[in-house]
Parts: sequence; C-alpha cells; structure tokens
Amino acid sequence: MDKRIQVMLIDDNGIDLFLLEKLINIRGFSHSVLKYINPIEAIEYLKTCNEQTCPDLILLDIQMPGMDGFEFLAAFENLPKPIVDKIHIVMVSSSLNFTDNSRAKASSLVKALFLKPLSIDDLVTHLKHTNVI
Amino acid sequence: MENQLKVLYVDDEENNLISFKSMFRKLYKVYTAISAQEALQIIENNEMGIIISDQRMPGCTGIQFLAQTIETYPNTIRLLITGQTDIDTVIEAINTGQISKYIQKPWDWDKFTLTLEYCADLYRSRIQLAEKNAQLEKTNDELNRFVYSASHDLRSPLMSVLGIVQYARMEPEMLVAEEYFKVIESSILKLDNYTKRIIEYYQNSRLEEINDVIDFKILVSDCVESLSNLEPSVVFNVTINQTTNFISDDFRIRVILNNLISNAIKYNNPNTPKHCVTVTVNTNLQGAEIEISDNGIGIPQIYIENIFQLFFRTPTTSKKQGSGIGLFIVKEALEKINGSIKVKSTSEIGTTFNIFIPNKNPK
Repeated sequence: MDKRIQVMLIDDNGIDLFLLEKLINIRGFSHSVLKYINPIEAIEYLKTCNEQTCPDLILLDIQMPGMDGFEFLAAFENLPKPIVDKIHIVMVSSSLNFTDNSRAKASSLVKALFLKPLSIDDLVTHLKHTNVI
Repeated sequence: MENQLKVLYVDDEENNLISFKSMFRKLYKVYTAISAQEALQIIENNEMGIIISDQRMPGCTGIQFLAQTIETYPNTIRLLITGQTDIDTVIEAINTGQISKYIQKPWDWDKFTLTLEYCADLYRSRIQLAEKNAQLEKTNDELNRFVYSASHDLRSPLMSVLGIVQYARMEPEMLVAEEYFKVIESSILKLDNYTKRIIEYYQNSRLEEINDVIDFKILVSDCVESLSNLEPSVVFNVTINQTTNFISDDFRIRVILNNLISNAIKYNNPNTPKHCVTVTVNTNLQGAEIEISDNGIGIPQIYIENIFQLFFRTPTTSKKQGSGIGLFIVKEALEKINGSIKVKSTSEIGTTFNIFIPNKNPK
C-alpha cells in the first residue's frame, strides 16, 4: 500500500458502517476510520478540522433522514476551501433511483458513485487510479 | 335538508325574488339578494351551486356581477336572466360572465325548473370530478413515494445482508459454511432481482419517453459486462453494425436488453458443452434490428404464446425459476417505444428473440 489515509464513513445504516469499516481494515489502506450515523454530526466534526487533521476520504450514503447526501454536500461546500479541496468524496448508494444517481454523477464534489453492496476491490481500484492511496 | 344544493338569485325587483323563492324553496336551499352588493356578501365564504342573476340592475350589470364570482368559485354554474336579447349581451355573457344558460324574461316555470335541474347536475358532476381528480393526484403522489422508498428501503437492508455475507465468506474459518452462504446469497440476489424488476416496471409505465442518442456498441457492452458475472462460463458473440445516428430511449432499451440477455444466460442447457449467447444489432435510418439468441433449454411450443404475460412461468423441474415479470416488462417497454418482438424457440436447441426498435432520428 502506497499511502495510509484517514477515512470518514457517513451512513444511517449501522450495519453498513460496520461492514465498510471491516472491508477497509481488510485492505489496510486506512490508519483510522471515523464512523458517523448522523451527517449533521459529521459536518460539525469537519468544522473543527484543519487541512492536516481532516479525513482524506469520505464515503457518503445518499438517502438518510434529517440530512441526505446532497444536503450534506451543500453544507460541505461551505467548509474552508483547503478542506473542500483535500477531501475526496465517494457516494455509495443502494438506490436505483435515476434522479439520485444522476445527481450524484453530475456533482463536481463527487468523485465516484458506487452501488451497494460496495465492492471493496472496485473502491481500491478507483482510489489508486485517482492517487488517493 | 342539509345536502340541498345552494342557489342564489339576484334581482332588483323584489316580486321576482319572492316568487322564485316560493317556487324553488322545496327543491333547493334558496338565497335571494336585491343587489349585486348584497349578493357578494352572501357568497362570501359560502359556495353556491348555482348563481342566477338579472342583467339589468342599478349600479352593476348581471354579467359584471357574475364575472366577479368566477375566480373564487370556478365550479359554480352561472345563469343570466334578461329581457334584452341583443347578440352583444349574449356574447358578453358567455365570454365575460362565463354563463352556462341564458333565461329569457318572462320565464316559463317548467323550462326554468328543467334548466335548474340540469345545472344542478352539472355542478354536482363538476364537484365530483374535482374530488376524483384530487384523489387521483394523491394516489399518484403516494405511488411515486412508495416506489421511491421501495427502491431504497427494500433494497438497503437487503444489500446490507449481502455485504455481510460477502464479507463473512472472506473469513478463513467460515469455509465450513460456504455452502450455506452460497444459498443465502442466491436467495438475496433473487429477491433483489425481483425488487429491481418491479421498479423497472413502474419506471417504464410512468416515465415519459426520452430521446437519447444511442450508441449500441457501448449499450450492449455495458449490458453484457454487467451480466457476464452471472455465469462466467458463457461465451458471448456480439456483432454491432451501427452506421447511422440512432435516437430512442436509452433506459428502455437497456431494460429490454438486460432482461433478454440475462434470460439467455440463465436458461442454459446442461447437455450442451458450451453455452453461447449471440447478440446482433443492425441499424439503419428506419430502426434497429436486434437478435438475441442462445443454445439453451428452449421454451416448449405450447407455452410460447404465454411468455409475455405477467407472472407467467413455464413449469420446470430445474432450479431455474423466473419471476414471471422480465418478459412482461420487455413487452411493455417495447410498446412504449413503438417497437416489436418475435420469438422462435425449440426445446433443447435454444431460443431466438428478434426485436425491432424504430429510429426516432428525424432525418
């Protein structure tokens, strides 16, 4: 592994959080995994970060109560520019909804969209390809 | 009676009001007003089924008064009573006052009664229509939300379980349970497939037809790629001859090809050494001819005409049970894009589907 990175997981489904962490640990590309079941708390945490301490990668679910993935992106965009530029966002969706998936693909903040269950091999390939790891 | 229809009559001659009221008070809940001003007060927060107005009144003509009621009460039936019969008044009454009927003074009681009956029916059916419309909109809205949530809320937990199963299979000490995991996984995929088909059906029946530029090379290779891991041993022969611009609905063509190709992959013949799936596409300015064939188990002749019916499944001894939705969706999707489909099949030899999809390219 070239780089070990910090990953933030945002998903309202506890099982998916558990699973994503396990899969990431198997591949060993992350030295720490932050899990957030509530995207609002994730944004609050990111506000306390600087570009050194903020995560390198966010895996973001789309459909969540309270704040969905797109609302998270809107809030994320208002964070300081160095942080916005540094963090690589990948959306992970179980939705077959056209609008959701094409919105995710159209957003410049979203570097990739994967459908659940996430194939860790596909994710690793994408991250290597984009020099995140 | 509470459910009597409300009727308002406006006239500056009090005698008319009195005789109208005595004539109709048993049939309708009758309101009367001596002026347009009084009438407007009566109908404030009080919807009439029918409003009848005299044309000649001091200060305000009947048409002017009726016109003022249109915005608040679009369903109310408006009638004008007048002794004048010049064409300009009639035209103005229809265009400005949006009146449904015109009653001439002096009126004939029998005719008047019939006219009111007719107008009462008209008003009731307008109200019913508005109610039905509102109901329909609500149902539609609920259906939209249901499918949206089905596409997420039904699949999401399923994908969690699938993820866990796939993760568990990576653990070395789980090898003993590999057989169980396989069965669990195949059941999950079956249920997921079923959910996807239902969503596809819904999307097909609801979405407007979209005009996309179709590149069959990309489209077919996407379909083949996503489906080839179902059965890695299948040999694909894909030939695409697309020389012209092709305009049609990308989503529906994908639905059609995904269903047909996955069927072709699934129903292989165990007695045939190499299971082959052939996809051929030829396009011209009129349309695309697509052939999807396999050397699988085939469909017994007696069932051929039923295969496009919803929930029809051929009785089979093999484990390969379909959902009975796939080909139905294929047919529905083809109908939406004005395409057609033919099938030839021989038991133990294979099945060939021939599809025609019109090219919407205007040239």
